[in-house]
Amino acid sequence: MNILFIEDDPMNRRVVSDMLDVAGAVMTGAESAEIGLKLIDEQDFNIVLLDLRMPGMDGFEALERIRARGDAKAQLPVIVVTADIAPDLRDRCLALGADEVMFKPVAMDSLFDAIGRMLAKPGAGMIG
Amino acid sequence: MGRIISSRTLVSFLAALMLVTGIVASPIAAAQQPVSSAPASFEAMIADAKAAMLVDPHQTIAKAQAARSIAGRLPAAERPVAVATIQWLQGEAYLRLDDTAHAGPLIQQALAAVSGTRRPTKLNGDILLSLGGYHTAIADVANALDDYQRAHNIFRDIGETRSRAVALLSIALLYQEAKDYPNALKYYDQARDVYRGDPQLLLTIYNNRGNALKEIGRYAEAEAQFREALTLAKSMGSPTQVARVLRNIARSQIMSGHIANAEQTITQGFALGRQGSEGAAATEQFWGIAAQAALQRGDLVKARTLIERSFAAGDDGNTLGAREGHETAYNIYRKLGDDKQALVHLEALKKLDDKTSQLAASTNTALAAARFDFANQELKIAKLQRDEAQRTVEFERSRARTQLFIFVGAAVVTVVIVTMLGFGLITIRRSRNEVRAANVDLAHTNSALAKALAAKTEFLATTSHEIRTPLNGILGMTQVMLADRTLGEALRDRIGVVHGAGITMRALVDDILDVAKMETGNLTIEQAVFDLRATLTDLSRMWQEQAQGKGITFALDLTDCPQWVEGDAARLRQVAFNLLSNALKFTEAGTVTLRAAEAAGADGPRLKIEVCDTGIGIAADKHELIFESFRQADGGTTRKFGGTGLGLSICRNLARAMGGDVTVVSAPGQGATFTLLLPLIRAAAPEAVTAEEQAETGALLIVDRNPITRAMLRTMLEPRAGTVLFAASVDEAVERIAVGGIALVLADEGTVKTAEDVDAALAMLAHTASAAGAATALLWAGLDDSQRDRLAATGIATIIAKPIAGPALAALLYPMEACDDLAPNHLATHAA
Repeated sequence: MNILFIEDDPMNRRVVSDMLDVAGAVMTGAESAEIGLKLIDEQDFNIVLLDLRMPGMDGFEALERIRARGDAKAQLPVIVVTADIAPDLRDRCLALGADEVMFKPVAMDSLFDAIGRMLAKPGAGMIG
Repeated sequence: MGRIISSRTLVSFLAALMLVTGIVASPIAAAQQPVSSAPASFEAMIADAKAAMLVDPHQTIAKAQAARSIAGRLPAAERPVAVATIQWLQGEAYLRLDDTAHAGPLIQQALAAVSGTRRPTKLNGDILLSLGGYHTAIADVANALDDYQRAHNIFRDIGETRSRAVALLSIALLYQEAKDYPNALKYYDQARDVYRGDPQLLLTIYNNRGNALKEIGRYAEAEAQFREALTLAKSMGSPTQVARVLRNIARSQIMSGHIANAEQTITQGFALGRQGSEGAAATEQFWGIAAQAALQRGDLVKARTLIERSFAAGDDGNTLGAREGHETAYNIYRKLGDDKQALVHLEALKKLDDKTSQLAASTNTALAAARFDFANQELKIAKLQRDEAQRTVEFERSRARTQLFIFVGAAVVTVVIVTMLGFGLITIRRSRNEVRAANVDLAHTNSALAKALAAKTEFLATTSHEIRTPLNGILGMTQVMLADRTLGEALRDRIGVVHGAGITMRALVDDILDVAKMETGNLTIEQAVFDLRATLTDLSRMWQEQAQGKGITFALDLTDCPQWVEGDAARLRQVAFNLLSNALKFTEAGTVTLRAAEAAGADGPRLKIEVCDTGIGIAADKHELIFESFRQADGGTTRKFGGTGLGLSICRNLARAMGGDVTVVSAPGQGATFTLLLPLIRAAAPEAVTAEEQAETGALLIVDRNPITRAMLRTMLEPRAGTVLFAASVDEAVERIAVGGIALVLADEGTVKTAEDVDAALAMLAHTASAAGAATALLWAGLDDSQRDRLAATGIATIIAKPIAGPALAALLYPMEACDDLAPNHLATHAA
């Protein structure tokens, strides 16, 4: 299982990478939205984890671009992972097409739970 | 002068002025008051009692008491006024003796007695002035201001110009207390313009005008005012007054840097010693100010001699003001390198500052209340304007403005004092300059305060965001480490401590965030159906452990608790969490009880959630205080019990946002009961739940240790399986199956392979399952025929090849057309 994490903070990438390692999942890190979008073009991922506040293109725009794709990857499950606490943030992300919004600090159990639920969606992937 | 600590001096000074009024004006007063028809002896006794006030207030109290018996024999119509006069005199005397506990009730009784009269009299105004003095003495500034305003209006209406000037002077002094010097000056001017006939009054006005101007750095103008006062004092032939004004001149000269002039003034002061015993006593008070001048000159040895002489003369609270004296002494000894003596004065300073800050805090609280009145005042103004009652409008407006200014002034004082406590002990001089600078323009400060409040909220939001990022690293890594099965017990324990601390910190950050949300009005309340019993039971589990660890009994009483209700489960949980955390924190032994039940309310049924403890309890006067942000009942408990003190404030805010409230019943040592009352909206159980409960056919047990796969399988299979349970190993699964209630066991290769003998483990699993009437299925990767045969030989009914898509697995395990009794057989056929 390959999970893409678009996040500019190296520590956060490291933390999530180590967490996913516990569950035997592989994480690919992208330090900017631009790099992340390019990786989605090149590789197949099961799930995208997406930070919101990043220099250059932010998470909102990246989310919009993923959803605007013409191919099947437009349906990639996207989990927004943010430290922002603006009251309308969750609704904004869901309106843009995010499948799930999680707030930092992220509890490992909730992360696994969210990923598991994404994978259970039809067409998301195989068990094994 | 002008500092809060000097309020007593101001009050008694003012009291003296009022008494002069009473004595000088007594024939007029007598002519106006019904008491005039009383026997001459009563009037004489009252006059006698008044006369004694300036000399010895104790005598006044005794003499007024003696007049009481005569008052009792007066005609019934006159008695109330006579008794009120006696009460007022006694109250005023106690006030002059600094005995506010006796003074307050007497003055209030006097006011109550005369308030029934149709037309207010001078006595009415005099009592209000005394009441203002009393309120000032107990730092109740808002009421003091109100008293003085009312007194002023009475004096204005009955044409008592001198008393009216005294009332205006009292108001000016309040502004001076609040460090609102421009307004203080305005009222001093009014007082001066209303009545110029009394040199003593004028002297006070000029002297205080000088002080106000000095405080805002207008030294030349200040000195001019002091010179006017000096001329008056000399004409009155009072060395004490001359000395008082001379010291103010000297102080102003030192502050403006004119040391040579100050020294000349001080020489004049010492020269008063030649004017008899009163003059000699007055000179004693120049040592401290002379020490200040010497300190400014840099002549430390002389300064020390002078300040020692000053303290030896008992001059630590009169001439310089206690604080100024200790500050001068501290600066002198510090510069001399005499750390021990410097410390003595520094400690004295600290004590005074503590007192000051307490006083400022209470003043601030009082004024916070006054601020709410301010809004009402504005409404009143609007109404009055409609009625074109222009004169009254002017008064209401100025009164509202006054309250606002006083409030802002006191807020500034509080801010300044907090700053001083932090930095002031080391850099007292600098902070004093800052204080002065801060007071130059209060209107400016007002807008700065508003900005500061907005900045605080912004700061809270930003800070908590910034804290969450590193917390993500800490909590993330501790979770990863704790998930490592090979971790040694000792290390696991230590990482557990780090993790627990991180969780606590996250809770604090969440609390702070909530406060920020509440302050900006961004708090949202959800409305959804939830299982209240389950929510509370789940919450209790965590606190049960905590209580056990502390040796406390934890009781959960849900006897009369409704199950399905509509509301915000997360917020309700947060309030209950905070209340329980609070109860456990302050309880050393006994029981903490969480009880939920339906209660009757005025406007429909209420949900009542109680948290009772047997802890240290809370004094009645602290019951409201503990619901304020960053407050615990006693400063000492913060050190002992920790916490930000935000919890209860949040509870109350949340409860109110949900349409209810949190209240407390407690007494010290008696434990406490916190009660959360919310509107109760009962709801029907969600259909899915009822369906699940009805179609209970036995649970699905998944043997898989991978958390992601577990979540995925649960999501896919739960709608069909009903209850989903998990086991992390074959051994664990076997144990669970034996308990019963399992219809199907689904094992995953990854987890099964952790067993020492895979085939034996599978055989055991198949055997236990079939004995319990449960079907078995196994997920295996890269199956070939020989492997399939080997695995089937263990007795597992269904072998499924991985990878497989989720929906396919669900369809395989739970065919939609399957009937309950057919399901297990179906599986076998499918697999074959």
